[in-house]
Amino acid sequence: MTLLPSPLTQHGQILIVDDSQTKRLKMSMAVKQIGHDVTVIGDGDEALKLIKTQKFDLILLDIYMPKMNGFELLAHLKSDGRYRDIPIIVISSSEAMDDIVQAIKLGAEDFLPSDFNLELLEARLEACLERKRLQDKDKDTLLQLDRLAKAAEHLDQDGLNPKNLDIIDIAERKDAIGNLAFVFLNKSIDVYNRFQHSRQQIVTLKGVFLLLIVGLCFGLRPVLGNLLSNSEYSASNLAVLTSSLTTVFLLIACFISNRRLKLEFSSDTMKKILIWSLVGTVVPIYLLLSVSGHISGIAMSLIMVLEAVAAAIIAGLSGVASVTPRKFTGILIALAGCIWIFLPDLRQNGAFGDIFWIGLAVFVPLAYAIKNVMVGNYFKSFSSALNAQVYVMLLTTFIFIFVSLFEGDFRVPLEPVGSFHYSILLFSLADATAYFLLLKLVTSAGSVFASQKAYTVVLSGLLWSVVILGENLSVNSLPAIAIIIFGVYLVGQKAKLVSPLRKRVLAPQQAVDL
Amino acid sequence: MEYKTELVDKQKLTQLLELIGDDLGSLRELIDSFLIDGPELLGAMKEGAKSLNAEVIRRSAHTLKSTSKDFGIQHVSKLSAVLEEKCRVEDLDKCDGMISEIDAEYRKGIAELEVLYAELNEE
Repeated sequence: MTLLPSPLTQHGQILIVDDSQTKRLKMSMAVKQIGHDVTVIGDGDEALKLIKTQKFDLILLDIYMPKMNGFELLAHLKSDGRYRDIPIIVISSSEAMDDIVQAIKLGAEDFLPSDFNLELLEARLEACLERKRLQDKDKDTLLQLDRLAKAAEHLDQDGLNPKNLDIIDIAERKDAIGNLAFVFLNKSIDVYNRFQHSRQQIVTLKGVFLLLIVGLCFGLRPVLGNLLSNSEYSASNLAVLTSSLTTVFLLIACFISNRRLKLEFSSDTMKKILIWSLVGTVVPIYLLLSVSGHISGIAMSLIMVLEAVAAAIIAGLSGVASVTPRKFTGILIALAGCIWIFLPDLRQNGAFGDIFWIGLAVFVPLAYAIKNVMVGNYFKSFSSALNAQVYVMLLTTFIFIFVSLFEGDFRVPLEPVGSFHYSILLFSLADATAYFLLLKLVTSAGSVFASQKAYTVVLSGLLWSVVILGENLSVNSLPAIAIIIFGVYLVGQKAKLVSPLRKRVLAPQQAVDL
Repeated sequence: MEYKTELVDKQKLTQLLELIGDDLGSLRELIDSFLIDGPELLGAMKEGAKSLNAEVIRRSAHTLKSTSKDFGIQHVSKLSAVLEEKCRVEDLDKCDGMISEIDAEYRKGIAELEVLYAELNEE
């Protein structure tokens, strides 16, 4: 094995213990000549205290001292695991062979005659320090091997971040152990990346499934809104009925999934709930129920596509997500598709509905997009978001009751149960289900990904419009719908969890040296 | 005891100077330290002789033996070695006399050492 350049040939911390001031001074001058750092002390007791607080590479020790003599200090140090490895050279006259033998028996590495010369001092010091260096290196290697063994035990744990293996410093060694640590590290990065990739795929798949269900539920709203708006109830009255029922359904869902409803909120959370209620719920529901009677179910469904575009723009402007060229292109394509569909209709002033109501309907997806970005940012856990959603719906119900009373036409549907009641029930159930699943989506995959529900909402809206309302979808509109969906696809993104870790590469100069 | 050798072995002093990097300033520092250490060790020996403490005498004689040897003050070193050995076997007979002799030799040795140092300084 090739040794590392010796750090101690540059510097060693040497402690000189001798009760004679003149001898201490002589030795200190000589040791400094060789290039080491020196600390001197004249007493065995004091030396022991100093060794406990300061690190030394070697001790030069006189034997005959008052209080604690050299033998006693030697015995102390060699019996303590913390200091056993510090090499000790005893200073003795060459004639005192008994003293030298006793010191060696007690664990001294070597002896130095008191009338030493510079060459002899240097030879003895370097020999001892070199042994210490090898000893330290072996000890360090054993400790690192122990850490590698522990890391190997955790190697197959899927979710373990390789950074937590604590072997990165070992992998920087330029020898076989360093190479082994590199292999371990790369292997753990492989395992980790595979696990994260699978997790991402599962989340994306779950996300796509949730998108479909959310789309089917939300897609029902424009269609049912259209049906409900034909009744004799005002928009605010309808909103009271649907939002109160939605609140009940959400409350049940909250108890089933959380088993409790948090009653205390900070003033900051209350403020967020109020904004969410007004911007993200009251405005879109009121608008939806108001415009539904004036534009077709297909038109409303198509307008809902703007939610994805608006979410991407808002997220980009607020710094939540970046607007890449791909997303920007997607926004333009989706808008072009909308214009393609609506332009001929507007010229003919025909089937989709009045331009004023179409313009007003645009604020519905816009409000939903603002809400999605807000919820994704404010509420990081599903349970806290669901909890807040219950309060949002409760607040929304009260606001609609107030609006309805203000408008002076609030009525309770006491007529015999019929299609109107079923529509209200279905609208509320679809709403509650969609909110529940959407919160799951927003808190797990992010608001931008969740906003891609827009195209499933559009597709299901078109489906429900044809199936429930019996509206006709012209063949000429189909390419435009495809363009819109393609545009929204470009705007959207995969649910992203953790960036994959880069594998470490063994440098060419890092040859394994045995 | 009579010695025919010179009071201070100049070669030993030169070796000491080499050991400390041929720096006369450092040698001065060492001599000054020995001027404090020497009388202290002699004092301790005398105290030990009074109280018949062989260990104290032995330890002081041991230190004086090696420090005086470093400076080349041979008579003091040799006398101290004899005294150390006597004390090691706890033979305190004629110790007082030996200590007085070491003291006298120490003074002579120091005087000679100063002369040699002055010569080294002039070279």
